[in-house]
Amino acid sequence: MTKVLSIASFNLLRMFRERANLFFVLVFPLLIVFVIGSQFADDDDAPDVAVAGTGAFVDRSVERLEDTGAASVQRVDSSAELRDLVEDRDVVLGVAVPDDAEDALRGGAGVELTVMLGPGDGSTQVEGVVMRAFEAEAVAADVTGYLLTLTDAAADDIGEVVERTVAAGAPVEINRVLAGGADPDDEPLGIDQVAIGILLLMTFLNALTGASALIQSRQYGVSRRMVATPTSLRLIVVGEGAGRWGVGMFQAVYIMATTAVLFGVSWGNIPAAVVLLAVFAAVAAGAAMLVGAVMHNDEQAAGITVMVGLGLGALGGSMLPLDLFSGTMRTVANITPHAWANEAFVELSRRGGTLVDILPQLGVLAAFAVVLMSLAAWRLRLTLTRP
Amino acid sequence: MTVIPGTRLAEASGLHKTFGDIHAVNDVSLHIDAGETYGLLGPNGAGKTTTISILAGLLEADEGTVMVAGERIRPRSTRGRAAIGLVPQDLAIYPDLTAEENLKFFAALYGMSRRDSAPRIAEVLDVIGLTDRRKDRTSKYSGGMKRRLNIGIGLLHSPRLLILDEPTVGVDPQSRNAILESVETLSGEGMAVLYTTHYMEEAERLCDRIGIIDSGRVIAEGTRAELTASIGEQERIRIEVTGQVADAASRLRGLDGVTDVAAEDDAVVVLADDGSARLSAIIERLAGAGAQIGSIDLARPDLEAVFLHLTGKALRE
Repeated sequence: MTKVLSIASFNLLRMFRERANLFFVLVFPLLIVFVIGSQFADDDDAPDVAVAGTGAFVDRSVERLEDTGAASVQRVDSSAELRDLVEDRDVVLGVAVPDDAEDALRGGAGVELTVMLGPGDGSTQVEGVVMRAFEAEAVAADVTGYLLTLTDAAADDIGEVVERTVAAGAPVEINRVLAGGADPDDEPLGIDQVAIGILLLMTFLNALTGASALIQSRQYGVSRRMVATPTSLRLIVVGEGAGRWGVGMFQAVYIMATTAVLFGVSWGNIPAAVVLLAVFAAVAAGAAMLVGAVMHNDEQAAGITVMVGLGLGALGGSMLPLDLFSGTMRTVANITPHAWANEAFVELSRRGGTLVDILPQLGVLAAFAVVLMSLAAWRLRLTLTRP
Repeated sequence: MTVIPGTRLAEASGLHKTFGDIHAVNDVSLHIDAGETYGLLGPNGAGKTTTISILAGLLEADEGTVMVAGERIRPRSTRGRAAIGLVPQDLAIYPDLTAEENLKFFAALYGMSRRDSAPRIAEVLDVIGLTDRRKDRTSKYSGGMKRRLNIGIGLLHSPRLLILDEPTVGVDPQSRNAILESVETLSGEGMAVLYTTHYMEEAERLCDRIGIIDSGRVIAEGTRAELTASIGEQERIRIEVTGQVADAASRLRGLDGVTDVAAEDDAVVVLADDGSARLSAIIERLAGAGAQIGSIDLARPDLEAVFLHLTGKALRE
């Protein structure tokens, strides 16, 4: 055990002695989480919508719209001011309502609203919500106007009855759910999701760079000299693997701790998350050992490392959340360990899952680790025991 | 280390190793006693490194056995490895670690506790003359310093058999001398040493017994005196020439009294009975072949002459 720890600890010492490695392990991941997180996750405010117009109909519509929480409403005095705000992108959308809208509706006449859409997707996303708010508030006035044509009663009396009728109606409550049980209000590109993706990507990538250290050990002749000591090949292989696992584990725990403290990322059940990280780091260590045992030089390994690390990361949901993948791509993603780890983290952090809930994912990841480690050990034995 | 001089410490019997069509080691047998320095002398590619790789347990022999300190040495077992200190021909150290860290790393692999290894590391650093530079990364060391550390690692666990594979290749004269002195000291302290080299002078200076190896076979073995006696009173004449060296060498074959001739890159090596008396005839033949003669070196029978006699090749070919 002492020998395994020695091999692993000197691996870590050599890794952290390299300043470039320190940057990629300590600074780079946080930088990415911060940059991507601030792009997507910090944008919690509802889009701004401007409304020009006065009267009870406008007041009620604006109140209804604000109650949805889908938009933040800014009242303006004129259509010209409204246009300026939309054109300057201060708001995503503007609604101009004629001042006599209430009277026109109650008189049974139609009302024409003008909607100014700003550039970008934001305006089209919020347009439907805005229009539904105005249409809903128009109903009572519209019905009042229609009833006036059928009876001799006063307009105010009819209006009061209609409003009381509308208010007394049983509300329709709509529960939004997503298949799979996720909370639909969770932003798929929220900071938690970004942090999970970056954690898996960087843990795998940085453990994989350990392949170069293994190749160097072989090139320096140190690996072969290790075989000449009273240390079995099995212990040497385990020690080299433990070194790579240590790098991956350090990276993962570091990202987990710092993003929790600095960005308030929630990782859910911490003991289960640590177990998940340990198994995922073992997968990364196995991949690093395999690359280190198969490749002949640093350049080859560096190319493979970047290609495999980024490729598996992208395919496994580390760059774009799996929720946004098409069905086919979601299925294909399952060939990567990242996708399984990603899914397990989502279970822990978004659905309050426990260790038991992620056992299937842990099992698959463990299988990945065993296969990769076994292949690497076989190849390394072969490399070290031939002239 | 308690050593009884003369005790059989290492024994290799009937070693064979082939790589494809190449018979790298062909029926090699040798033994080394405690306190003895055994030299394996041969040109590059003769099979020295393959032989010691088998002796150190790095390679599995196709046939034959190796016993060190009473233990069978095999790649699949770590038994007996603690008795062996290997100094490989190529540097085997981490350049991004200091000398002290390199020694600590290998001390752990040799199973030494921190308490035992700390004083031993200080001792080894002193022996290899790197105490003052122990905290420097080895990437900043000179070639000679790296070589000394390479040897220090092999000495770390006080092995009973030290295997040195051409430890002075590419080393400056000062470091080379320091290395040779260290080997003499260790041997004097009772350590068995297996020393491979293609430098005749090193073998003559250090080794109690020498095995001459060529094409995977040990073709002669004995003390320096025994080996040189085997070729009688023949003298070795080395003549630096420019021009067609191979052609010049071929002209000398068959000359009266000349027993062997070999061509090097820029010299012809001749083995002749009563060489000084034959010198004028040899020079005449070379001049006749159009060779420009530089220096002439005439030596009493030595290991190089033995090698030339046995193989028809110069040691540095």
